[in-house]
Amino acid sequence: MPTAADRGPGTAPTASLLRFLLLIAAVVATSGLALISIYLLLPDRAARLSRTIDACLADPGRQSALAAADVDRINAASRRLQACTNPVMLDWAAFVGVGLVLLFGAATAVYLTHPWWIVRRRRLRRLTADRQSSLVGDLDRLSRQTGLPRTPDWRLAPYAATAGGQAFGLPWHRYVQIDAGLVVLRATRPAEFRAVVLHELAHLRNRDVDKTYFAVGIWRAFAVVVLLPYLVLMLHPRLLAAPLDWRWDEFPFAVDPVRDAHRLGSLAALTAMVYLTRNAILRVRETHADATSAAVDGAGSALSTVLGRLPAPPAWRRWGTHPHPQRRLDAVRDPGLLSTAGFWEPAGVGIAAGVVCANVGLLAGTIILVDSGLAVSAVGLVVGGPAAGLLAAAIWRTTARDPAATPSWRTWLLYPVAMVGGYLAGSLLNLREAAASGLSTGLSSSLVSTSVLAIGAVFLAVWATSATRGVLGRPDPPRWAMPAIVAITVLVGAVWFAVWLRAAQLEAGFADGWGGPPAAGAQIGWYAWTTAITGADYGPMNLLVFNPFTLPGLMLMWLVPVLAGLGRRPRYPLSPAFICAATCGTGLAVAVAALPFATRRVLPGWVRAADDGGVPFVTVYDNATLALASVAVAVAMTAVATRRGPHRPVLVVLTACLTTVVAAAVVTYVAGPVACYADVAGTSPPNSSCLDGATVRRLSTRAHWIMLQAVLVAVPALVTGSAVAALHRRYRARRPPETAGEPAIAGPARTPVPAAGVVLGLLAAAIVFLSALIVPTAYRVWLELALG
Amino acid sequence: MSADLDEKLVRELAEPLVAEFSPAEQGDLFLVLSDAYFADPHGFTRRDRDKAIGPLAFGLPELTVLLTPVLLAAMNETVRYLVESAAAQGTRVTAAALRRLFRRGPAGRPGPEPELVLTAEQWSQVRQIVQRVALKGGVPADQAELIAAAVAGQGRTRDGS
Repeated sequence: MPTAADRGPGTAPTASLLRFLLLIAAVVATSGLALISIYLLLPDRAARLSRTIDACLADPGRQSALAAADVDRINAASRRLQACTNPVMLDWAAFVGVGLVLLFGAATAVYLTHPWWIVRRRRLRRLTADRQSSLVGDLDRLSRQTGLPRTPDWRLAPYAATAGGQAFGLPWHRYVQIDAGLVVLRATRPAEFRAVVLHELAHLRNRDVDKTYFAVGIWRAFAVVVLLPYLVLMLHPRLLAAPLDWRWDEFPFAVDPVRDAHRLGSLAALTAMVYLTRNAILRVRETHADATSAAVDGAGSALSTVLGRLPAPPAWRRWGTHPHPQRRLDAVRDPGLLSTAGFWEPAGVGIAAGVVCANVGLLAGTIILVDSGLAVSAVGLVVGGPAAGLLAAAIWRTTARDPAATPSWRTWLLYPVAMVGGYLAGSLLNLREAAASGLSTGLSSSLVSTSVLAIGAVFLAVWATSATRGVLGRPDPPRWAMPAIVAITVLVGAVWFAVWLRAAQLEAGFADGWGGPPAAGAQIGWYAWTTAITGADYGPMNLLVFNPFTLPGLMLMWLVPVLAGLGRRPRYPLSPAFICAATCGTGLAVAVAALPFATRRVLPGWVRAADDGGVPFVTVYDNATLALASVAVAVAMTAVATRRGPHRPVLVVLTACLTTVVAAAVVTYVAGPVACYADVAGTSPPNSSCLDGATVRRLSTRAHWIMLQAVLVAVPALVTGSAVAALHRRYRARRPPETAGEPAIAGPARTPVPAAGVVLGLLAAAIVFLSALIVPTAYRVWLELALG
Repeated sequence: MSADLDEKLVRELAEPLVAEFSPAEQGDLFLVLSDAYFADPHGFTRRDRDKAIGPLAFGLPELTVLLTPVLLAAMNETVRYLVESAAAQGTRVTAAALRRLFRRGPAGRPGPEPELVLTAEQWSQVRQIVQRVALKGGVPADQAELIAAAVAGQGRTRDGS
């Protein structure tokens, strides 16, 4: 039976698919980590690695470059170091790669041979229409009733006195095992016989077999290829060199019990994650099959009777392969329950991401890239994208249950926070040494960086929830819309996490550096304060300003939801974004036009003319106009966020983009020239040179700065404003709150569609143009060190 | 006839009992289960394997008592007992005589070989064998008694009773 999540544009990712992807992520992360450690437990490999690194680090040119703090020489020395260590590092990486190939090869072998094994082990006998016509006739009818394109290969388990069945097989040959006891049940209690058989057929219809048996194969391969060798080598590190020569003084626990307790604890935690994820896949398939078979069997289904007779598993099997009977009964009565993703999926994804970033990724990154900062960002890009995608998929699945309902806090708050919490836990797990594990920076720095990550993840989740509701709330949404929203989440999440991870590796990565003192006028309190505030340098900001993905990512966050609603009703209520952008842009234009004259009145001429011994006045002035522009954008965003109505997160992003482009144009083409004509600095420039600074390249850089500063300013304003507005609406509003798809948004948009389309088209073109202009600078910031 | 299993005979003797006490197992299922029984008579007693639950497996928690293997085992033991008893007395038992001994319903055609007649003590022994095997196979005590009575109650004693 299709659940709510299966309706709508495309099929929402199933819970088992999410968990299966999580299992793959967990196994890759854990196995990579374990294989890295196993390599170090191989005596000859470890000795070669150590010798090579020592020899490479002894490069005298590097020592002198570090002593002289010569950036060019340090860069050259870094390249030499990378070239020197490359052979052993590649050998290390190849070892991990071969281990992973072996693991997945073994898992595939287990999966491919499972039908042969089950048939052989249980000595299953084929049931044929020739010999067992009545029984096979009944079974075939049930198969057709379930909607299977072809009937499975029915096999009797003659020695099984249980009244059960089991689906298995490969895509081209499916089997269903029928226990001998179940055949007896067919005569005595036919309704229960039907319920059991339909449950197994539901597994085939839901395509559970491949995911389930491959998950089982992955777990077994993980245990044999990774877990067992690691434990053996941990207990006997010299096993390969001298198998019979085990000495207590070489036993790792005897050498450093704390370190090895940490290693063992980490291994246990990672193994538990893999095992529990596997079980979670198996459990969720059961509840889905229950719901499907109950729907196929109709009102007379005896499934509830069967489920009601299942014994409740003991507490220690709470996370076993089969769900609690009560949960299964609940899912039969309310299939919508199947649409919700649990806490475990995002937390597990976070743990896997943490393990990769803290251990595996840096090794892989530094092998490929000489620039360690870029290597960290590359790892962030690779890890952050899939993690964000899984978050979006979980939100999609949960929202699909009832897009018109107010989203639960679990969707937009618990999921991202659980993911970040999992990330933190994952980064604490390490199989090498306790000292190298966990937080790479101090506690306070880690708290700040984790909070920043959580805030970013929550905002991304809020947007994804809003965009998903906007799409699924429509009666005929396009099929591409939801995959596109997941793809945008991947893009934005990857870029954001790549920048975050790079800053998070530094002790002061997220510290705010205030601007220096002014060249003159430091004794004027408000002027010194303005100089410090507007000149503040926030670490990760440069990485997002000089980044060709920043503005396009934000653009896609409104463009795709709006395009998904193009020509469909209800239309996106775009008017608030246009009105707020126009109002704030106009206000900014008036403010920056008046600013030179106001400045001339309040600041003495000698302060405005000073350009030496501190921050020059012209710089302070430029910074101040940018800050004003950022405040204007933030005000526009907050105004849209605090109003009534649906789709606010999407509209806030649209407003931010629109107002930013307008503000950048105002700052470049109004503020600069007016200040020049007004001679605000008192330098009497010729009027003919007043438009020199009005170049499109400056327009691009300013647009990026304005957007990023605005977001920084807007975060507390958005949180506070949204909370206050929500409370106000909840307790004071006379009208009920509007939700997606309700008549409140079903009316025609106030902005005529052609005009809105032209504005949005121009905005998109402007953003693409501005992003293209930032590419040369972005190359210098991001890639020059690595690529030259 | 030797004391070795005569599969065909045992099947013939057990099938009417299966039809009477577990109609769901008669017909095609009886053929499959009896094949499985003769392939591995002990396979049905390894209940730990039955309880193993694999991925995607589903069913009722309780075990069903399959009477086919139980009755095949019971009749197998009975035949073995009668053949060995006859051998101890220097006589030979034929399959046809055993069929007539345990015939159900109207009496079959008399054959050329002498009719097999058991003493009251032997019938009692047969009854005990069937009951013991049935109980061992998990059959409830009351049903085991009924099955034993059905088997032992079909023959005649040497004194004609």
